[in-house]
Amino acid sequence: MFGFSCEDDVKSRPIASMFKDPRDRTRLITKLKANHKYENEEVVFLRQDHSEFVGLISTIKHQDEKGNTYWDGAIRDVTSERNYIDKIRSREQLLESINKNINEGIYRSISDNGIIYVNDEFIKMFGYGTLEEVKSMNPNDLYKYPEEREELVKEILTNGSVSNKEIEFKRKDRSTFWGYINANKVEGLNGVVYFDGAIRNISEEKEAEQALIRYADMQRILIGLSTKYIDLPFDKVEQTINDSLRELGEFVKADRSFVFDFDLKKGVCNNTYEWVADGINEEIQNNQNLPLEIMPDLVNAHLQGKPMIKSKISDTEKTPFEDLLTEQQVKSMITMPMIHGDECVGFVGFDWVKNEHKATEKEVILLELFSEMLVNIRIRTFNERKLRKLFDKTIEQNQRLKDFSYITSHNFRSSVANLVGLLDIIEDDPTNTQYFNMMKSTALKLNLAIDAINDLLNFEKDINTLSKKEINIRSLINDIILLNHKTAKDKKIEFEVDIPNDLSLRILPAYLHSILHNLITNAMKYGVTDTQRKIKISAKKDSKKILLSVSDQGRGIDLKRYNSKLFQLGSRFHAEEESGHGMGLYMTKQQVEAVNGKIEVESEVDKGTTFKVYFDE
Amino acid sequence: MSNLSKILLVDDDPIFLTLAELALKKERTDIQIFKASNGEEAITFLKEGHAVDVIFLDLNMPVMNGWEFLDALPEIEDRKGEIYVLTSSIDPSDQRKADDNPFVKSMLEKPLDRDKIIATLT
Repeated sequence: MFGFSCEDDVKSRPIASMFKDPRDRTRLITKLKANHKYENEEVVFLRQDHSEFVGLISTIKHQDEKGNTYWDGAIRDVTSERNYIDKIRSREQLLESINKNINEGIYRSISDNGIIYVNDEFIKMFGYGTLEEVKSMNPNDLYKYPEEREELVKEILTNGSVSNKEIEFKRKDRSTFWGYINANKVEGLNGVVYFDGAIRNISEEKEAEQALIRYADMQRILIGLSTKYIDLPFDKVEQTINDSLRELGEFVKADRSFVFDFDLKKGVCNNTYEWVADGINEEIQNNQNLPLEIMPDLVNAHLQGKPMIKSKISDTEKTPFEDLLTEQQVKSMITMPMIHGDECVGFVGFDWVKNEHKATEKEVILLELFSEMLVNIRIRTFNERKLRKLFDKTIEQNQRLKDFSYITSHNFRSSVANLVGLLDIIEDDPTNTQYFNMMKSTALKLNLAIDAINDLLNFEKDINTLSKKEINIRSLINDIILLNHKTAKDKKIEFEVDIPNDLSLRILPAYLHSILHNLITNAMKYGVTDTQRKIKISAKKDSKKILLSVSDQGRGIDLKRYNSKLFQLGSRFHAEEESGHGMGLYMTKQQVEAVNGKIEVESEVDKGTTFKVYFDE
Repeated sequence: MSNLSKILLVDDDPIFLTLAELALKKERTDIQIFKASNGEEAITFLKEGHAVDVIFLDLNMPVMNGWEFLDALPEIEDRKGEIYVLTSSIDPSDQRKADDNPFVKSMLEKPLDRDKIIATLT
């Protein structure tokens, strides 16, 4: 080992010359004196030819009974082993400096045992304290979606590696970040499969990218808002407003978005449109007729044209308004006034229910533009609606007058034609009294036709000039019966009246009189037979409505056949003398509808007919 | 004069029926006149097998009006006779409907005077 030729040769040399560094010997002697032995000390020895080798030396000190001290030792040449270790050591150092200096998280894991190694950056990146802490956890918990890890492992096992995968990772504090992961499969000597990989945190890039997308989205929404409303057809307004509320609400991740209209005269505001995110309660029902006086801050800000921003409602002072917001679970809100001219007509806004939210400039800008667009479109719509309503009403009136003029002219012309014809034959046969009677009845019919015209002309005029009065229904019915008592007596009609004494209705008196008069005289004309002469008139209050009904037990009307024509102008159903002009039920229906009532008919042939009229109380 | 001698008047106005009958009889003594006070009576009459040569049909009648009568007409198997709508209506939609109806020969305005009787019965 030392290159000596024989034992004597060894003995002739000083021991110190065998050490490359004599201080090593001193160190070993000191150790031996202290401990009586040492083991596997690494020393560089010198051979005879001054070449070096690394040896491991172990020595033990002992004495014999005579008191002589011996040092027995052994040296093993470990030079070749040592070279190998050096190599490894330098690799380890390289790896370590790579690990230390690189800003990627590097790891090695085994699919069964999880992570066995990570670098410092990895520990930092995931927010842990030590390697041991990372090793002890389930690697699935490092992923926002653990199933993504399973897919990664599958892919690596299939393809040998994955590169530049974008994955969302989870830190110790459960916050998440976007990372690029590169990893591959390494098969160890003993058949163990390792997964080695590197993760780079790309949150910043990702955030920048998402900010860009959001910026583009916002541009799109802004442009959409400014163009969509310009040529919006009026029948699409409602839908478009609702769509915009959803789009804006989703964009700013609000839980509700809404439009409120001020009614400054009544001192209230009303929620007119609302969008809510999934799983959030609608509040539009609860936000009707809210008194403005409970929200002075909001109203004052808006009257001055300023937005109101509340990022933390729980911090604001306890007021009835705050109670209302808390009840509706609002944590943060932004509202923006809708200004028309100098006037604030309402506001638009967002609520956050799930989390508190700090308003951003973007959100305020969006709301501002949306509010401007809403004001414009709603003013246009309002004017258009008014115009259209007037137009529809005019058309309807026009049609009614036209229909009416056809039917009256028909009635007039047939009566006049009869008169002319009758006059001709009376000339030929002046003594025939039958012809005179015919003349008389024709003249009376003409007279009735003129009355009907007056009724209709007055009807158009009346509705605008007459005023409502409280009418006691029972006494009105009694008046009408009295008015017709002669006919009733002649025909032996029995009236059965079932109306509470105190039942009254606020209505145009002439209309109610005319409606009931017509229904009752109709029943008297067509609802009695030789055997059935009873007419039942009843009235009652039914929830919020007042129901009046006139029933007879006469021949009835075949509703299957005549239902659609019953209230038509010019329709008649009875062939006898008393047949009218086809105006009565038409006028009745017009009058009922003019005072927002409803008329219905029930009838069965040979059983009788019931007309029911409903009025709002 | 032709032999159009059986005439059906359909009108709910008894005075008109009387006047029309007198006017017709004044022009033609050889005719037979039947009267119905609405469309339903007229259909029943025709269904009983009565064949007529001319029908004067009013439009606005209770129970079954003139248009409904024309709609029900195909129910009658052995149909003949010329149908004239005879009305006081000035509603232009009535005129249009009359022009479009295959059974209607033409629409005449009341009263039924001498000229109209001569024009329709020859």
